[in-house]
Amino acid sequence: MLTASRKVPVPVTFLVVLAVVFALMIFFGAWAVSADVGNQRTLAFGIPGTTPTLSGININGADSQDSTGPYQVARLDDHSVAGDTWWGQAFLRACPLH
Amino acid sequence: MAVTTNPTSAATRAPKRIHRAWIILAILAMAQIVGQSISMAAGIMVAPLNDVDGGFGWNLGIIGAALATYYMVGALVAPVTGMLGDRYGARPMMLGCGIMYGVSMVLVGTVTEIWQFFLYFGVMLSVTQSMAMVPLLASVNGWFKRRLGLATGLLWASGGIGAAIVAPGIANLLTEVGWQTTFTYIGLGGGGVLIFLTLFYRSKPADAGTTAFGARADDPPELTRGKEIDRLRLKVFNSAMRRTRAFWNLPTIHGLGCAGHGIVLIYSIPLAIEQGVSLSAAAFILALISVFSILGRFAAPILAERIGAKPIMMTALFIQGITVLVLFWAQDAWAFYLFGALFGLGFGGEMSAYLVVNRQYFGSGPLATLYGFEMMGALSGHAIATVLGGLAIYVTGSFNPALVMSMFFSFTGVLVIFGMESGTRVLIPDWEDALPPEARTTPQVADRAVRAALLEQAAGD
Repeated sequence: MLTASRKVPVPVTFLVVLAVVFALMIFFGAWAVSADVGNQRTLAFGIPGTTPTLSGININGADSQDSTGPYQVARLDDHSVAGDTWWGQAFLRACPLH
Repeated sequence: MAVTTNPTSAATRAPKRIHRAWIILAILAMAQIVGQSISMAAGIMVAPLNDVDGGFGWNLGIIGAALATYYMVGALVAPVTGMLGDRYGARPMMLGCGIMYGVSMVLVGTVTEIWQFFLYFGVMLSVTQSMAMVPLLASVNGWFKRRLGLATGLLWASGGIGAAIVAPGIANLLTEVGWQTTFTYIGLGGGGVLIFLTLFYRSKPADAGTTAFGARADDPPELTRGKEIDRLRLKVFNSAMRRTRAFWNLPTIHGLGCAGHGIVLIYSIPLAIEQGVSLSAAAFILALISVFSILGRFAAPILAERIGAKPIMMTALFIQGITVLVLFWAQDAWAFYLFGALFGLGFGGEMSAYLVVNRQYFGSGPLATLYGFEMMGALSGHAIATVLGGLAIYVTGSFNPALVMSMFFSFTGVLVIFGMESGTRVLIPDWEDALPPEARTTPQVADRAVRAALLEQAAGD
């Protein structure tokens, strides 16, 4: 009879992919925090139809740098820097390269 | 001269009837369209929620966080809904889904505070969609002994076509009748349809007093067992699955595949606009991806069943990865259109063959739990793609690293599939050996059980 006590053989590929994704998250997260340029953070979780382009023009035609436009873009508080936040510091501590 | 008779002559042939499995498939296709309307609504509701002149005026960060909650809750509950589907059957899940859909959508229509949106949309509708997608889709496995590839292909393709119709429908309603009435209509309509379909839907062929499509006379009969035995069988089957590499690798592959196309789906449009393509032309790229993905969705499961799932999944993921190269050099609209068509084929094929793969690796057992874990991988992949792609573009100021990441995810998926077991044989053929004899479905035991039931019935008569 099978029992739950037997070892579950988690394949190496699964663990490697998990580790790489985790490492990429920490690396890019820490890079983003260290390169924080304040209010220019305009990425909006990639909501379809709302992602601003690099030049600041929203694909719906709205200027993503302009908070008075039809689309309001997520920004950090005017006076806060990502490196000062608890999550920003966590990223910087976790990444050996930043 | 000897006279031969044809046992299947017109005189003796029974009149052709549509097998119940195809009716079940049509019901599931409807349920899938209703379920997909949730994610369709997600994209459409952003504008009214964000509109400063509308009733909400929330910023994109808040709305994005709610959508991220929706993905994350979906990833977490997918294995749970799969497990519930295996344990209690897909029919109660469909009924629950209909009730949840109606209640949640009507509540979304009444939203005035942000916490309500997080709860109704981010949590309740996420659970609802998981109930619609995981146990219901996985139940196809039990209804089709043969032609599972065709059934799955039809299901996915109809879901894609339905989504293409539902999305503009919701958008029109929002414009015409406003927020609250739209979601009340959708909730009552979609929920009502699901509850109504439950009347005709059955979780498995035995519940309808029939056999699966393509079942042969020498197949062991489906026995109705006690709850305790069913629970034990499910536990032992899941335990046997967990000890295979495929159980871990399949969700990983689905996650990598979804991360690969998630980045492209989100960022190819802004990239095209950045290259000087007009907004309407850029939007047409997404339309091409959607249309060609329907071809991929339809063809991949059929080919997977005929040729084998491994080569088809590898090919689909390879196409998905390699076509991203076009985006590095694309300047004109036609190059983006070419990309959209080719990428759509790979992207559609990547997502739709899992039910066939599951059958090839694990047979006809209760597979909703496994499918739940695969959906968990898929939704996690989308969440990862959104975050990592966004961060990479943010820190480098270029789309290229995100595109490289997309290719990396797709090609890693190809490698993982390459390292998987061959799909020519079931990986756990002897899983029933771990069961006590009375819980097995070996022909001898099944025969004995059927004989005992017949004797009991005769004694009763």
